[in-house]
Amino acid sequence: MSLLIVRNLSIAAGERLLVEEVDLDLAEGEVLGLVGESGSGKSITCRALMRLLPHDQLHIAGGSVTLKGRDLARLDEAEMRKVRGVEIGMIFQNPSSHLDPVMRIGDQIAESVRYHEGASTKEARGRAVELLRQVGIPDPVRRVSAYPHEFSGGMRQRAMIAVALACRPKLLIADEPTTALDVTVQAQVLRLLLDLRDRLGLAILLVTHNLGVVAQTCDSLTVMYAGRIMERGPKRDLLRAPAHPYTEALLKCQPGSAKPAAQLPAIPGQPPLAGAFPPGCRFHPRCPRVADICRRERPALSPAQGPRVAACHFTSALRAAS
Amino acid sequence: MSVEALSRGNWLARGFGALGLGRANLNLRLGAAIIVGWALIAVFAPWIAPYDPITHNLADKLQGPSLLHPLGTDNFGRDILSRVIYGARIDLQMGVLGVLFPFLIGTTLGAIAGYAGGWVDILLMRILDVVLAFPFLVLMLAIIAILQPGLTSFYIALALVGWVSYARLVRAQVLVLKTSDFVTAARSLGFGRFRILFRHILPNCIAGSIVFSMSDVVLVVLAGSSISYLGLGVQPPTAEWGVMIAEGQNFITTAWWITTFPGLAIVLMAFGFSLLADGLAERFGLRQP
Repeated sequence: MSLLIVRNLSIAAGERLLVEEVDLDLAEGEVLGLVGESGSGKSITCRALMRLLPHDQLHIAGGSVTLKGRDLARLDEAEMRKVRGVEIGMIFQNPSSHLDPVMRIGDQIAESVRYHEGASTKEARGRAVELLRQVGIPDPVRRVSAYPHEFSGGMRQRAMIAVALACRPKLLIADEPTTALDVTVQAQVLRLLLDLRDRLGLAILLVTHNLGVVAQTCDSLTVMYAGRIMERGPKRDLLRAPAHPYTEALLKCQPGSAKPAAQLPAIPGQPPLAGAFPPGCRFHPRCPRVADICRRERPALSPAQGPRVAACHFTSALRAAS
Repeated sequence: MSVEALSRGNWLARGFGALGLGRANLNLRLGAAIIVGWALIAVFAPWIAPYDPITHNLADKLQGPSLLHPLGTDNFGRDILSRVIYGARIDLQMGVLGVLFPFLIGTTLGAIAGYAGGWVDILLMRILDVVLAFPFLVLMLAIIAILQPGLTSFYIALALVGWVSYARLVRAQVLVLKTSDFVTAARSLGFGRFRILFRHILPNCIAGSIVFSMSDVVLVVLAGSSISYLGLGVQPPTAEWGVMIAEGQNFITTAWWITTFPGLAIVLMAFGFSLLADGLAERFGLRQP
């Protein structure tokens, strides 16, 4: 039974569609990776799930976001506030700027416990200490009264996870949680997320452009490009034998997949800007397998292999080649 | 030493640290020392002052500085030193209350204008423009004249006129901070608008207003003295520095001490608050030392 079911989600800025027909399914305890280049619509898709789109002009143009049987897209603002932080927690790319600089870490964790659960100061403080211990911050009793600037980057990310999990949400949206961290700390934070998933049964929607992160953590994968889903399926299948040329190109661009001395390949060209999406398949101007049909017709998401779906006219040809 | 005493010492040290006095800069220390000095003088005035500041003693009138009257006497024979000491009570109160009300009103309105935007913002900013269109002192005088001369009217007038600077300062900061990352994070925790504004945005932009309020105290004390000098503020025979200067001006050529010493007192208090403002600005990292 899925915890979160997103169907046909479209996000528009005024009349222009930025994200179209996005479907996501997330079960309890599952880690779903949402992958794509900058500007592919990953982040605003996440924000749309929380109904926290960054500009007034951006709005959900259609589709449904069903969490535990309730359509979040239809809730009013007051009801939505009881979902944020309580049923969905969110962590962000840059922990340094997403923590309140003049508030003690413990108070930031305690604040939402007191706000949403009406806990007493003492209870909330106890929860803050407990959460800091859970996210692996040493000496939590002393550290609850520290300010964010007294923490290192990795500790701030841990603290932000503690803040997001303060009211025990079942779903955690992680928007590029490791991008601002260095590689060793990255690995620790990812391990922490998996550990929390195991202990709390947390479902995690992990947004990233780093396939290395995906390989370490995710159960399944959704690849986005120019506001549309290109391919979706179990991680192992996608990484081993991509059914879409875009996924294949992304994989080739990972350091380590080419020979050590060779130059790292890149996808030629730039991702299209919103509002200037090409007709037909949106990836066709950069696709190595482009044919006439790609310029005319948009490929539908169709079963490629097992539980996997891909939006390419040549899915079967790709499969044959690999 | 017992554990309790140790933790108390720690608490004290932390208190000083929070106030910025643990390793404060010179401006902050000196400014704080001057203001604390004035505050002590004001509180203990009856014990420090050698004479009564109000009672006339015509036998001793217009005496120059001497051992009996270190700062001389005025045309009613009142001791200038005693009057300067008692004057600290009024002037310090004027400085503090005269800034507190505009600070609270301006900060709240500015924060609401910046955060709400739309017609609320437009309305508040137009009112602000109207207030700013008049010269500060002229508008103050007009309001006090309508009400009735006195300290209460002075505070009311200041609250009506002085809030604009704080409102503009805070509004600009709120505009920047309301799209900042930690506000997005606070929204993602489901907090309401007022909680976000008053618990997260405002504490992050209050430092500038506090620094400004310290230099504003200087202006307010000077304005209060000017208005008392014009006869619309503190009424004689109350000892207030502005009133004392006004009373002494007829004797400036023959008895310079009547106006000079209250004037120096104003300067010294203003100096203390200016240093405090500079020190706090440095402390909050708003300005490079």
